[in-house]
Amino acid sequence: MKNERDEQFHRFVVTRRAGLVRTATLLTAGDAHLAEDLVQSTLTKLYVAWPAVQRADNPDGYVRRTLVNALTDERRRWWRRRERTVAELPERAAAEIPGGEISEGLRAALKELPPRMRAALVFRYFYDLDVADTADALGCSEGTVKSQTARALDRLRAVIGDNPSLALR
Amino acid sequence: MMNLYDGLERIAGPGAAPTPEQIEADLARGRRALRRRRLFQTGGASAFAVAAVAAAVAFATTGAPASSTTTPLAEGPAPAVSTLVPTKLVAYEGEQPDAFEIDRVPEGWVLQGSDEGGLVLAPEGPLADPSTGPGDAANSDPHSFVGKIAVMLQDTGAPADLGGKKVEVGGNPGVLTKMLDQTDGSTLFLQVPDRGYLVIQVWDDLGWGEKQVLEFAAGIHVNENATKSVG
Repeated sequence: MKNERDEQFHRFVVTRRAGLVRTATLLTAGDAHLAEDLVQSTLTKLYVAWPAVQRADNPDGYVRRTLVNALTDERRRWWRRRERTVAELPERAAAEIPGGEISEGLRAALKELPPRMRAALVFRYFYDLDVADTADALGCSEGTVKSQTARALDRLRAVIGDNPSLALR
Repeated sequence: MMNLYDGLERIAGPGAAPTPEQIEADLARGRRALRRRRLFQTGGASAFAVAAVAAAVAFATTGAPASSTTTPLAEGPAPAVSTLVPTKLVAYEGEQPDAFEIDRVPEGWVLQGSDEGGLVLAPEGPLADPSTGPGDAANSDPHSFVGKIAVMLQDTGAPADLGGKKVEVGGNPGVLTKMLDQTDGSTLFLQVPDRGYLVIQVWDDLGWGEKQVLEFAAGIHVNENATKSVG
């Protein structure tokens, strides 16, 4: 028998799960299995804290924070997830990537980014969040968001090209 | 020139609607986690009541309040008092890891993994919780933190919305809290001057309360070559 929390949570999952999976897939640079784990972990945390989710001034922000926390807090795969970062992406000119492989090139480039830098990029450039909301999701300062996204774009330029529209943001 | 948004859109995928089975499974996981949390909170409250009675008796017999160095609880969930018998700490006698030094470990535990970013300690032999995987798989995997203690250095402190209890270890301020789905386990975020935050995560069911976590934390020393974990 479902209580009110169950009913509300059920509706939330129906309407929001697909979006969470998409976000988690980006946050994990296309790792579908890890993305599903993240979503499950996030939904479990949200269910447990459901009254707080309902009371939150910014429920979307709460969900984003929970998802990022699921990505960063943990425990289960910390060692595996702490990908080694490199100072620079391997030299690879954008023109050399055939069109059909652009996604793969971007995916590989995303994977080279530290997870929180990747998250900053995803929230700013895919979800179009402002710096303040991105900082809220990541639990860091706005200055950190700006520096993280700038460094992320620097690292991705080998793949995405020197796109001036990104430099303005 | 590639459009970053379109590239990310392709990686994100179509976002298929969840199946009824997925939704039910999400709900079942949430219910289980909530039940577990409530169960341990109830047990914790009982243990706290016993401790309060003991403190009252001590006050009555000595005629003076016991001195306390603990600071008031901050907003948010307080670490539950464990009903389990805590594993006592003993001197660590193994080889010291490069990036951290460790004074004490739970009796019968070993240092299972270490690198410049952190440590994982685990009990020798299979873990008590069979849900962690077939046999002792989780225990033998240093990538898994289930049933263990994980120590890491990171940039950020405790998420503000979790609240927790303000504590102090070796003169450094910290917050003892629990992540959203922790029951009797806890996570300590200890500020280390110029180094960020030392995070000590104690998995559920280990029977450790504040005393053990802080005592263990006091025995962890961050060396120069320790680096912050990312992600």
